[in-house]
Amino acid sequence: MLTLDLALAGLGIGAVAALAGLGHLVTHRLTGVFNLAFGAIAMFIAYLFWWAVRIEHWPIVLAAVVVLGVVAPALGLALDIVVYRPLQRRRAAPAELLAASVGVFVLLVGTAFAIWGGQPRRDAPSLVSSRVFEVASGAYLRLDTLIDLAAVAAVAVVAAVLLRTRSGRTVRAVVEGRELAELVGVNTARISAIGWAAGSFLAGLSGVLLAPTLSLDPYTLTLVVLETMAVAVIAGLSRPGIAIVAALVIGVGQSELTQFTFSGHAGQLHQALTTNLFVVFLFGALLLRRRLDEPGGGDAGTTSGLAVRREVDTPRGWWIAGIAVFAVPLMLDTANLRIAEQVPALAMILASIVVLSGYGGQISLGQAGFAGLGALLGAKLSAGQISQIPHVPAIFAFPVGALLVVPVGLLTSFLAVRRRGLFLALTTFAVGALIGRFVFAQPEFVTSVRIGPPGLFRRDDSFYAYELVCLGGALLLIRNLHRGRLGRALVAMRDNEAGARASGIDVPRLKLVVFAASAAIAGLGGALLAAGARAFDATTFDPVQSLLWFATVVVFGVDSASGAVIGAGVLVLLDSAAGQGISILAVGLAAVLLGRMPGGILFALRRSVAAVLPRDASNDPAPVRLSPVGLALADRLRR
Amino acid sequence: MTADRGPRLEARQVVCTYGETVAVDRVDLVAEAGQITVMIGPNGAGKTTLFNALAGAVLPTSGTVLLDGEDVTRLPPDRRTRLGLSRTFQQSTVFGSLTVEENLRVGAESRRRDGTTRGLLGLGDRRDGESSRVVDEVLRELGLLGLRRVRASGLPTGTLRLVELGRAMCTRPSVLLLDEPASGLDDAETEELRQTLGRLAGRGLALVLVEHDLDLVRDSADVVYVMVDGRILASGAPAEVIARADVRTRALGLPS
Repeated sequence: MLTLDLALAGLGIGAVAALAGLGHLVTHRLTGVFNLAFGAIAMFIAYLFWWAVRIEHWPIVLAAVVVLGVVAPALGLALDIVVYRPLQRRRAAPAELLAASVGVFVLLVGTAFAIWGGQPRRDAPSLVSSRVFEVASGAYLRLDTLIDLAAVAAVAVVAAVLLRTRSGRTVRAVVEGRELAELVGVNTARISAIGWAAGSFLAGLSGVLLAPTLSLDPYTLTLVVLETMAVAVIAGLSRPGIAIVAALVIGVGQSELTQFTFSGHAGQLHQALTTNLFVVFLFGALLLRRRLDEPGGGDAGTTSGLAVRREVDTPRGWWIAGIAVFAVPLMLDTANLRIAEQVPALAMILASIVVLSGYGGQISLGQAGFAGLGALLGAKLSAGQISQIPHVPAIFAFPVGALLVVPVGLLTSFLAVRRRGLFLALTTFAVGALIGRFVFAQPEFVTSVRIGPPGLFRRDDSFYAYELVCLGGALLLIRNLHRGRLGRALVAMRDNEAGARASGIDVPRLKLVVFAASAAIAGLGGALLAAGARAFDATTFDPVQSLLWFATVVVFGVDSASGAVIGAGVLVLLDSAAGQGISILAVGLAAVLLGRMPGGILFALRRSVAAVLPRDASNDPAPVRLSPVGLALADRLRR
Repeated sequence: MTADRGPRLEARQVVCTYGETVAVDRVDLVAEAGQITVMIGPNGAGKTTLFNALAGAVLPTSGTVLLDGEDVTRLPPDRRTRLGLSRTFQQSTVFGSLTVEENLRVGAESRRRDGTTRGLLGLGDRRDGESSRVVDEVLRELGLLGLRRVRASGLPTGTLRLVELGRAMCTRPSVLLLDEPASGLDDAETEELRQTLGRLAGRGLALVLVEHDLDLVRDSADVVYVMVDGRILASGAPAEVIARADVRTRALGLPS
């Protein structure tokens, strides 16, 4: 039953979620980009506000005016000019815009790490006084909640004006067709600019408002704000009124849940629900929706725009060099070898994204969920802690654990049958977030988990060799997925689903195959990563991590398995040489600049190498179009 | 392949609705082996919806679609393709990252229920040779041999149409559905297309086209169906049908 005091308490988080949801909507409607970096902007601005007040000792009002009024909108404008506008100018595919917003996300998280470190700050200043009024006997309303609600109302009015009136129709025209709108003289650049400035302001505002109730670190606040996109999804990315109502309902609902108590498993589930109702609603809303209002629709699902398959040939014998490089750490001392142990594990996780997103075209932002499950299951199997399954010898525990992740991958693939592009990206993110919140964050599952190298491979060098064998097996499987008939079918599905089905390819089944393979590979990688660290750490498999890994894969070439391996090496090297978080910053920078370097870093390198090497003329498109006779003749001559 | 005469593809009382709108209203259509059957009609008449219902991209609200006498109404498009019904699209669905040859190969490899497990294990395709032979034949027939190793992205529209037609041909269909195959083609290319279609029909394929080019319809169609407002207004031999006054005014926007 509803109690007034809990309802009033819940209004606070509800109001902030409404602000965040409106921010999502405004950005999306005005710019045509779904801003996955929204949560990261919120976190970054909240950090700046904290820094201004706590470190520089600015008065709250001054800090608010400068940080929220000037810096936040300016950050939005900068992102528009530097990142998104160039992409939209060259009519980048929606998947590229999505990858760019993941890039911005990673860049901001990495910057926060580099400047302020990873330790949580618990002294985030409150923007408004939290004075309390008694509205009825025993029911209290906080002043800041009241002000938040007023802010929601104000923003709603502005949003309604922006979206409904004549200028609203102009906006609509921009969303439906940028180039057409430009032709009839609409200043699309200005509308985008307004969208980015307003969206970033709202992101910053919700971050600053939320920070005092949470701890301020690069991950926590980011994820919480990211999860409030549930209300934007419920509103179909278009209707502000519904977003506000949904936000308040979920906020109040979460608070009302705390009045009940359960014991045992139900109690733990209930406990998890009281803090994670937004994720549940995000997943539920995505599950129930048949489509997401997504401007540009069309090929929104394909990652072909990011892919580079065979545009440049892989140099022959590259794998010999690869094996040589991987053998080097065996000559290092224990401390350095421990660091190197992360590389094969991380390489497998990244390669699992290559399989799914690069080969199969299925954008996945939930890979950390698969990886973490692999680690947990592998650990429990080797300790004989899963009741229905008999004890598995340690050497096989990780691979078997990885196979147990396959059903989760298969379930996700069912969701992927009808979902593409942004819709699929959000759905996979929600799956990863659900697993993170309801498994990795639950003491029931993760306390007393002991994981480490399996028995025979206790020594660091032998464990590293064990990892290399696992990586080799995974790469073999991945190679098979990329070659021959199966490889062609996957590329066909990625490039054009309708065309693939018309060519007789059983697309749902193929999605099943890639999701299953990807889940297993990620699961094994996760198990090895945790084993190398000799502990299961939930932050290693935080839902935010999925986005970092996805960005890394895009940067090193989304359909390049060797890129994934090299990427893993670079990440680990950067972190150990330059300090925690530097790798995130570097990946973020590279991802943001991807608009100027399509295909990723390795591709850019390979292309410049290829440019100076002699080329095989048969790969060039014919400069002139020949008649059938001419073509037959040309072909005969060529033979 | 089955007998050279008789109905290959049949629509019986097919109805397709989108919410309140009835896009296709109780339509009957028969495509015979060895014949070119063409649907014409104004935009919004329901041609493409019917076409999609035949191909499996749209599920009819009621009615049946028969392929070689078997009910395929509820089968997904890929199953129909494996049963011998292939199609092309109005907007190119060619696989841009694959070469022209690989595009066709995807079609050629589709008829057999797939070798995914073999593929995962890294074992080769048992019938690689057969697929190559089919692909070579079609490449030669369509004059695409010189472009076989060229990546499809960036090819001109006319060539993309040919590649898509080739991909459909490589599935070795008994029924071929072509959605506006001549749009975007110049005169010479249209003439080549006309000849190709004639050859395919000559081999006993049942061809079904949606087409706006009236000259092409007159020259190559055996049977014409005129669709207006979701219904068949007239059907029969092209010359007679196109001469009808109601067809000229209601479907073609010509003086009666």
